[in-house]
Amino acid sequence: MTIISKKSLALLGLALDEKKPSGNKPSLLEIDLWRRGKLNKKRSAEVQAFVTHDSECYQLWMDLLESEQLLAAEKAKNHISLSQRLKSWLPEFNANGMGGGLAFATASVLIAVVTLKTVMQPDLLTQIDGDYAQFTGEPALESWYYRMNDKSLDFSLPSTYDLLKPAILKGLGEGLRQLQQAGKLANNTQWQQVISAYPSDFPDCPQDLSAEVCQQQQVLLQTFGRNMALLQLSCAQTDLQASAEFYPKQAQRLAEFKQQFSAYENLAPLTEQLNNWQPAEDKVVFCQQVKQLLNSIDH
Amino acid sequence: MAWYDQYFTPAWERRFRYQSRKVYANYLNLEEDAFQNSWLALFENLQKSKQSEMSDAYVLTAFKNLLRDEYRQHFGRCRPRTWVKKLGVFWERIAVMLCQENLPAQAIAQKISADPLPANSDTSHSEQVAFIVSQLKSKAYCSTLGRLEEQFPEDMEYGDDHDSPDNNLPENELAFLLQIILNEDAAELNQSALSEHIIQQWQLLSESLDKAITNDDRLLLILIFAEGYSVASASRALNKPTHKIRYQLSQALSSIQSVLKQHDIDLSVLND
Repeated sequence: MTIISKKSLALLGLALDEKKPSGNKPSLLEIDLWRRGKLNKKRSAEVQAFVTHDSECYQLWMDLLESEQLLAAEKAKNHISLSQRLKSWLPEFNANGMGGGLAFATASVLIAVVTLKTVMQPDLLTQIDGDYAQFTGEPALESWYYRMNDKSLDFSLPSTYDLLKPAILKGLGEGLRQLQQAGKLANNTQWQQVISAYPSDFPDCPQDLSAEVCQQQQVLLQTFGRNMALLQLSCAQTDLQASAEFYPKQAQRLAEFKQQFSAYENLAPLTEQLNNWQPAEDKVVFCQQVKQLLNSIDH
Repeated sequence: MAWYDQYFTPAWERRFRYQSRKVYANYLNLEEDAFQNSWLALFENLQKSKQSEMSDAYVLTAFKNLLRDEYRQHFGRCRPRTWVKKLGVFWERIAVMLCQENLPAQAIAQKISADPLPANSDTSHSEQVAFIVSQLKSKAYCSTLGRLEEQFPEDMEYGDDHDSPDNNLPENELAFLLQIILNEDAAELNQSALSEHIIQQWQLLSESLDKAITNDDRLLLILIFAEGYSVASASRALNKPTHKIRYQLSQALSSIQSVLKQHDIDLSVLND
């Protein structure tokens, strides 16, 4: 009996490979679709055979993995720089605003709580900013007149959430304004009217919330509004050709928002609405849900 | 605006330029033209493509391939021999660099280090590259089809098959391949006798192995043992959980071991 390493055994097994794959040699695009599980079973097996036995196809697969790693590393680097900006802000805050002893200890706990909530946001913020940067298409103006319809009369005292809803509308307006300034939305009177109908300031803080918590919620709701603007803009495309990742990505993002809203009792109505959100990959169903959510916010 | 405009932004241009600098590091005077031609070709490619099929990784890779095509138009194409390919893409890539640019081992190590590397190599990266360069240089590692390919591109599409068909490696190349594979265990075994026996059994062994291990197993073995991926990196590349990868790996190795045993090659595996 001879003793060899696992590596030698594996390489020996691989060197003994004489198999020739059958079917048409796949293109780079097909190899990418295969690795992302987007081919049918038969073609997927054929492409896998080529990737395994044909060195050119294997090299293309390796190149795709390498590109993905590069892009992921770049994304992680951007994410770290955001966190670092946050960290660099914190010591300044400590030095300028805090005394020592118990006051400092209390403040530190407060900062830790605030930071925990804020640290959750950069990822969402980065994603949303990325979507704004990459936004393309020509959304139909008519789709924004959802605001004119489906209004019912409702006599009840406004809840804390009702009082904060304008923060979401502010985010919606800001999203549209940002795209218009970037030249991605027509700069005409009609769009101007739509945008100017949204508030440009945060609403006053409800009395039952501390200033601190109110500010956190305002920023969170505004960010949510910016994301809703993107969703409604997607729905306003006459021929929305969403990528396969679009719907799951949005569902995931809404779940992250829901998780953050759930930390605040007064935002329970919004959390509940997101609980009722049905993951859908059909444009009509998806956009109907967006419309309902916007209507309830703009009510 | 068209959907593919998202790939023609300053952020993407920076990515593309980085790739182009890597490919044309030694020929900076050719870089700008190659970049422009590849950019234009990518634009035409994306115009014909469906947005729903696209991924960012695809677009970046497609651009890299276009740069490579441009490079080949200037310098022809070097195809590593089949025995080199059998050792994995890492070997193949080094062979191409040696063949096309004749770079020293240190320069190759530096150039390859710019890419994200597999993580769990035993030896240091430059030592590994130096070992591969020395092994390649001790044997003809590249076919010289570059010039021929420019003259008869259609004939040379499968040029390597004419030169040394995959299914019929000459015995001396098989012996050399086995020498490299079994090299690290040389002290433990009578390598030449073992190689001779394996070469005699080559066809039968290969047929039995075809039945015993799947393409899925092979890809995993390549990633872990030829490319030096960690189990975690392989699990990401193959979209499988790590515990499944570990199990599949041990099963695949056992299958190879038992096939070898059936052909009177009794190998025990070191616990490395």
